[in-house]
Amino acid sequence: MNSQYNKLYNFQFVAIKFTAIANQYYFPDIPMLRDRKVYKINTYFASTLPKDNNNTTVVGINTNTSNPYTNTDSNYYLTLYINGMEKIKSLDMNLLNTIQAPKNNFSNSGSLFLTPTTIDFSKSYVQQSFGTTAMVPPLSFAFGIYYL
Amino acid sequence: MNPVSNCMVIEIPCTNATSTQFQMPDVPYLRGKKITAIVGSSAQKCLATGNLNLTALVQDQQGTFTSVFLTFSDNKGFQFIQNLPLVELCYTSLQTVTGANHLLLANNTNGMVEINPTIIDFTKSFVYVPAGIGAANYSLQLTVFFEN
Repeated sequence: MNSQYNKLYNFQFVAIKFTAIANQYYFPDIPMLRDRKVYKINTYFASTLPKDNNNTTVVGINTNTSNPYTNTDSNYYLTLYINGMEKIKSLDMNLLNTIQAPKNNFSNSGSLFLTPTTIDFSKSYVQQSFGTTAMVPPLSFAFGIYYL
Repeated sequence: MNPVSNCMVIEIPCTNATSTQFQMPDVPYLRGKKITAIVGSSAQKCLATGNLNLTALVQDQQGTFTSVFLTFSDNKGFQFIQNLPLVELCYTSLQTVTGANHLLLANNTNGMVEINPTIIDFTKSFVYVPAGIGAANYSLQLTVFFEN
């Protein structure tokens, strides 16, 4: 990946809190990030960040299996609205999970590096594929947004 | 990552069990210095802190300190890092928990989070523990790397 953006320039923690099950969970408006160029996004699950900054429980993933791609738990997909279209469409959030604490020392692939770009977060959202374990809100999706 | 030329350890005493926010101390030696990296101590590598000899405050996925966030302000008063989960900085962490899980950090910087050289105003920076630390006499230990 582009080593220039391995550095941390600016960081904003963002949580999508939801109190009921829905098909899509939209980001809140994030005034700090309007017109700022985002170059990296990662996500956190409950195994490494149990609570968000509002003390809301963070969603979990793959807590009962060593292989996130064959498990029966929920998976989450991220859509980012960039330049008037959903340029990042339904990206498996496992690909954004820098830090993992599953069994058998499995670690995921790391952060999502973007060509620095402005994201309209109010039109970006997370979708969920339901697994065998129903989520019990209130919960939150947690993201780390790195921007220039 | 550039070769290390300077580093020092700072500690943020978290001595009040019910508080959720702890301001960082003034660090005169770091005034005007550009910070290039920050590393947090993990419980496995740091049972007690070096300066204050207190129990190290770490992000513990078992729920003792469920989530710890760091906010750093630059010398212009801008919070360029807002609510960074402490686990991002604990690259040496190896956490044994129920089920023999291990916490791995697999980010794209070989562990250490490199910061675009920035002057940090530590007196305007703080540690935030949404759930409260629940016990007294802990200390967060950060190793700060900086330019001359």
